[in-house]
Amino acid sequence: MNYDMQKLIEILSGICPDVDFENEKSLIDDGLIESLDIVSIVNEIMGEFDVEIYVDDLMPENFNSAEDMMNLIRKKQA
Amino acid sequence: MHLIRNAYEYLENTAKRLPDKVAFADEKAGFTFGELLSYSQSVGIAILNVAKSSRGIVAVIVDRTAISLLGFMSALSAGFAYLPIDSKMPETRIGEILSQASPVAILFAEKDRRLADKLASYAPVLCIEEEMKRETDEHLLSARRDAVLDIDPAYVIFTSGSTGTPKGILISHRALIDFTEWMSETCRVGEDDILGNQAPFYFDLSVKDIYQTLRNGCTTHILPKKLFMFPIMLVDYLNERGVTSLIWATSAFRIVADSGVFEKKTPTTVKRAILGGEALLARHVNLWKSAVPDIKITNLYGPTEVTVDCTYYDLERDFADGEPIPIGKACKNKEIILLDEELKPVADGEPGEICVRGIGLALGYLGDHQKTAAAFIQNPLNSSYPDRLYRTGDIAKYNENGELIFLSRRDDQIKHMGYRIELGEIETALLAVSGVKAGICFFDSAEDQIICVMQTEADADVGAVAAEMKKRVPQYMLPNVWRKVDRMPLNPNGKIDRKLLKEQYFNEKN
Repeated sequence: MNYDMQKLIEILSGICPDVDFENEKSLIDDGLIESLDIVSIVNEIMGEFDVEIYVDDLMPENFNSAEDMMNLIRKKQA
Repeated sequence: MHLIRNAYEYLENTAKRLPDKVAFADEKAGFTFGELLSYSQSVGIAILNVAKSSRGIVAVIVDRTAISLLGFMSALSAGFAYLPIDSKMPETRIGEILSQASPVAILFAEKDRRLADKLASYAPVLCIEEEMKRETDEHLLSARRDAVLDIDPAYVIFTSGSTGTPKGILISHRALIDFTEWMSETCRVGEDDILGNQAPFYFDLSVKDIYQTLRNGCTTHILPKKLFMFPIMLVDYLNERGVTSLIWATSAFRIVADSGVFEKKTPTTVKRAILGGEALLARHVNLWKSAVPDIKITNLYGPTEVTVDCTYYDLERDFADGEPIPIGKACKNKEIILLDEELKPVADGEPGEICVRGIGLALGYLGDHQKTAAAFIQNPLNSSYPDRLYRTGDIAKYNENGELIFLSRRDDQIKHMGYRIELGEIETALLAVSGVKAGICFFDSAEDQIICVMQTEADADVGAVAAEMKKRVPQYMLPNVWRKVDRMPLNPNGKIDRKLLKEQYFNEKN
């Protein structure tokens, strides 16, 4: 696991400590994260990775797994 | 006007008038008023067949589906009160509630069969889909309903209890009907309206959607929960279904406003927002008004014990960001009295505890006479005859316009995501988790987050504690921030120094 991914997993685990972010692939569809969690996740990601996440980015396909979130971050950093 | 005495009559009357109109629809399915009436009577007979008593409570396992509401109507059709049980609630908590309520039957949707099987030791379990098309006997059901008085309970809602045990609040048909009539008159929900339901059916805020629909013949769309994470999809959903009225928890209104969605999309059919559950901020009102300039907003206030709400305020003027929005004045048939700690009325403009009297007061707490007597007291201003007063524990004052302004809570109760939560209940659950030596919780109202600080055995990790807590308390009671300390600081009395821990947290945060 690279450093950025490790950092992301750390952030996510801080918000939802009981969710297995390394393996879980359907966080939204399985209802593992809630609306307030998304708000916290977005705020943390913007702070830690210095990216802007807009309302258009708030789509299930960007948040269903840690990998989806990492892809969104990379797209924003590019 | 014919005065109804059983809330089920709302469904009977509207089903006669509009049998083919959709009453409630979720993402996948829906029921017309006619179907709701006929199916509820079939399930009602199934309940009578298994119930060992002609009075009592029917538990209904609920989710965000129309079938949950069919469960409620089925219980009422056979003369029972209903008790909503969240299908996602930890099983230990479901067990605690069922033990307290001793239901005559438990209704469940097919998808919750596995959960229902585990609950069969508490009462006979009935699958709604299996029972809803069986033959019915309307005369028998009607006779059962006739035996129900309007002062008998229509529903029971369990809320957080400070000692760690949830408490069941019993609401009568009369209180429910009185509230529904007031709301219909005041908020003017009509037959052409389309409601977008946000509140879960185990939360009494949803009583407004359910009974306005049944009374007025409008349609309610049950909004999928995940839409509140993805605001563009939410606004599309509202527009596609032509939703005109949002009877929402204030927290949902806030999340949408703060998301920035209005820079991209506008709800084009929404005309009205009726909000409640926690403090409404002018900033969020103004964000909504920027997108929907003509939106009519009503701010409601009230604990479950007064039957949904007891005060209201129509926002008929503009509010600057930061200006407090009143909770207004008493609803019809309810009176608000502000009392001091000695239960004496406060002077004009002084803060006091909101105490409520009127027809809408709950019957009390299920099986807990002591708690009922402490919360529902004899009106200290009336020594002539029995006159109940409910002490809300909320502090408010009147402003110069005679409008009530909410100020604070008297105790450790918080409002989070629209839910009333006793922090003590979270702490009790936390201390029962193996490996936790000590723990406290407090609330960060600016961020709407529950903060947990705990001291654990050396090998206990936060993830495991959080996972265990998920089995013990509902999702909305789970802390949002977890902190571990090596030792809890103590105050001079030898108790955990909560004040210091709070200060440390807020200092670090800032």
